[in-house]
Amino acid sequence: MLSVLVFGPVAGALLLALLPQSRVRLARGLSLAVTLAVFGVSVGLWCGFETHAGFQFVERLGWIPTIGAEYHLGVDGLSLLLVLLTALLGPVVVLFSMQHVRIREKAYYITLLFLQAGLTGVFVALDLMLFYIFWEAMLIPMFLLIGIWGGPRRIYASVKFFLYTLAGSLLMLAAMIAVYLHHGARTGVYTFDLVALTQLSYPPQLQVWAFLGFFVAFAIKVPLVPFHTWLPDAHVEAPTAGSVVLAGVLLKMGTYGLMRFSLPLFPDASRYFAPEVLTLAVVGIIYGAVLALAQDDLKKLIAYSSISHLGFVVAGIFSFDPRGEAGAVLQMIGHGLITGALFLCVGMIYERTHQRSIPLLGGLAHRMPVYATVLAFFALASLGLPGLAGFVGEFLILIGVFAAAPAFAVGVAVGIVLGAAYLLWMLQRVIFGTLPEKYAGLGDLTTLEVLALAPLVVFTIWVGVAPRPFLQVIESAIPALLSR
Amino acid sequence: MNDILTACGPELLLLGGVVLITVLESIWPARGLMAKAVIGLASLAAAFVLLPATAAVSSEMLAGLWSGDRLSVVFKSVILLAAALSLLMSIEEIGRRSKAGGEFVILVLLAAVGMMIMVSGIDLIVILLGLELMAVSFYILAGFTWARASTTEGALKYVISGLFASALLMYGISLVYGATGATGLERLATVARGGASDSLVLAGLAFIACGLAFKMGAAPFQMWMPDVLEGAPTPVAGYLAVGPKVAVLAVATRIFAAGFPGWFALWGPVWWSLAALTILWGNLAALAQENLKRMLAYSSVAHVGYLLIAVVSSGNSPEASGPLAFYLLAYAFMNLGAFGALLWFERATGTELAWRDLAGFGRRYPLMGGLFALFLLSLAGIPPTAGFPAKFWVFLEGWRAGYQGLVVVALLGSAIGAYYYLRAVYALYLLPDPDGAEGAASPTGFCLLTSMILLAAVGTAIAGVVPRVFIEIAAKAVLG
Repeated sequence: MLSVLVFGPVAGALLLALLPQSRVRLARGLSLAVTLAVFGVSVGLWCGFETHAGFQFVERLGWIPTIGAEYHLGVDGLSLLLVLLTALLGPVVVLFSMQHVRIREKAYYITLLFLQAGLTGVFVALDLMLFYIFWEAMLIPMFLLIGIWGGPRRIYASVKFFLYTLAGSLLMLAAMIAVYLHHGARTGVYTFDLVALTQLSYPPQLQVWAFLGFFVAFAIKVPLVPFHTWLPDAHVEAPTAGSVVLAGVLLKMGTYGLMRFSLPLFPDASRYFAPEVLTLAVVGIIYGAVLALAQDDLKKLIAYSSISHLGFVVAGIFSFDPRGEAGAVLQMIGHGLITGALFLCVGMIYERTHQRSIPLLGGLAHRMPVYATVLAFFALASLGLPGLAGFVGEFLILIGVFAAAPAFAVGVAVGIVLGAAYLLWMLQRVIFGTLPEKYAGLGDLTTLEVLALAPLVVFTIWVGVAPRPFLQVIESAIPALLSR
Repeated sequence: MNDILTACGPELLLLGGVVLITVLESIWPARGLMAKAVIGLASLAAAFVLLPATAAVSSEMLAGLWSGDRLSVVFKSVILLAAALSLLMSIEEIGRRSKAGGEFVILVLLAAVGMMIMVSGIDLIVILLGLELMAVSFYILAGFTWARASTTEGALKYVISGLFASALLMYGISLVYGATGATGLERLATVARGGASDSLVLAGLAFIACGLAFKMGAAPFQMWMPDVLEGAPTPVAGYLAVGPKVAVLAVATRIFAAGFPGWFALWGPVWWSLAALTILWGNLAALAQENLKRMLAYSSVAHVGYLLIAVVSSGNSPEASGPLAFYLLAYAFMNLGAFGALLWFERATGTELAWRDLAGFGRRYPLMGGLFALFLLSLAGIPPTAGFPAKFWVFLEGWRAGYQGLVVVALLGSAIGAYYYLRAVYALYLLPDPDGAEGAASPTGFCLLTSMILLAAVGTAIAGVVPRVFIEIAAKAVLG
């Protein structure tokens, strides 16, 4: 089943590649069908998931026996919801793109599908080497997505994105090799199997170095300040779908990696470095929020708000408190839904006005009431309005961090206040006030756009009002995470 | 006698092919190029079939001159593969450019025989014979028929630097012989185990090491490589960048890892530092290249560096050279593929190409653009292509053998490398096409070249996604 999730999009992409260039409508329909089918499978996965610890839906095949690498997939409470989120955003971005993307469409959908396959693979791989392959392989479609369909400075942004992440990954590779060899030397079993590797406890020296190796790779992806400079460029230049996937799923690869690999493999080093990491997280929260306050570009504003929100997640992870951990996962999901939707909203207004500058917009509520409502809804969700998805995660993280390190909780809380400030101010300037005259002819959202946003609205309310089913899934994985 | 026939079967078969083509050449000079090429390919294929049987013959049967061990079987397969791909790549080009096609096929085969002799030789004299056969064939190939100043210049440079390297090698061998009275590696190994670290032997080995470093293109002995590869006809450049590396690295492994096990502590650091220097030098110099062929030349220098990690980490046992062999196989596929695609582009545009000239090729030639991107990403070591498992395995064994620092240097080098490979991919797909030619006509009459590129692409993909296929085939062939 997990293989279907990973290789379904690949098969779809290959099918698309065989289509003649002229059958654009068929290409769109086919990619929608593939992403919907994948989403259907992931819902099936969710229904069949049992809330107990350990990996489920495991698939295991020999792959490179000579060095003990396996094709080993599985999900648990940490990854299930992220898989679901990835699958949900698939049809959402396809729906949006059907309306707005008109350049080299076939290649575009092929790239999107490959991207989805790589991202899903990252979340379900349980073999370090397989994980690394997905982690790297997904760079190529993202690079092309930004570089071909992006904005004016797309080339600079895509190359920067690629090299930044690649440099981080190489350090992770070295750390992986060190862990693998140590495990092999101690137990006689040379394997990249994550489950086996986490059984052993590693000497402090190795933990420290290997932790740092993994940490840099993940911190670049998250991104934590000071590794964040690629993100605003990538976001601003990426096409809307790219931004949605980037913010919605790709950044979570970093935080997911911290939870899946750093904590279980190097528990002592993680605790040892917790104050430093918490500091970076809080700095990121406040720095991101302050920069967001200063932005005139809508996309940049949301990009910096992502840095701030992902800081929350990292703070939750390094609180070593069950509530903090659960909150971190839920915040990843909430942020994926909300920020994904916000980028869609920005894309929708950009397609109409070719304008993302906040001072040059205004009064959109007069001409586009539905749009204004949706934008306000997601902005409120993003600032953590109770009853919507952003709140639950942030609240749990705050409790967790407070229990663990009250001083840091103050910083986190300041971030929440700043979040309210930049989002409300943005709302005020964009949807209220007077509508510039040249935008008098703006049309409201189309059916396709509403269809693209609707599932995100539904899930945002669902997670906000009744987080129980989601939290149950997440909490099944937390004790194992903290027991080491 | 039978044993000798079995042990040298593949080489003899190739020589048979050479004789046959020579006869044909005298009957139909300047005609029937395709038939001659088919004979060449058929003898390469037949030699490949005979290879596994050579592993059965023990070296004592052959007066300690010749070994058909597992190492040599695997390395020779890569050599045969490289020769076959190069031949496929070049036939149409040769046929178009000159009437003297037969010699070309003969030289490709002779170079392959020379390399195979080097791989199997366990006596310094035999190794030297193979090396000279290979080198002389390549001297001619590098200057083959093209009336172009840079070709002549490159070929001349190659001859001069090659002779210099051979001289170093011969001088080293004579010193070793003078000190020990032996040239057989087995005999030298016993001398070495006896603890005699005669300064004369040490000096001899140092000369041999320099000669080999020269031949493989390791820094600081790499300066001939870019000029020669740039000047040589593109198909020859591909062969030249892959074949000799396989053979020379096999020899280096044999002499320095197996021949003098007791002295590895002494030789480890030498190769270690050569590897680090080569990786950094190759990658940094490649960064500065505009011309794609020069870029690929420096990239091949960098790859020698990665391969040297495999040599040093195989340490005392040639049996541990699995990563080296796999890397060489992956390298043969991706590098020959890259040269093939480059040749294809050169034919399509009629010019030498700098990386900027690739602008828009991804759209103009969708298939070939995609394949070239695949080879470049593989050379950069991005999964899921052959370059990744190859590099990974080499780095893994390097780390295991205690060369952590070297692996970190190599990772750094890979990061630098990613930049210049990516730059070409970026030109392919992201730069706008200056001519605005949408779906321009592909060059016709290059189906052999195209099929060779596809073959290399399939190899690159399979070695990347399911590397065990090749590992298992190799294991089965060798172990029966």
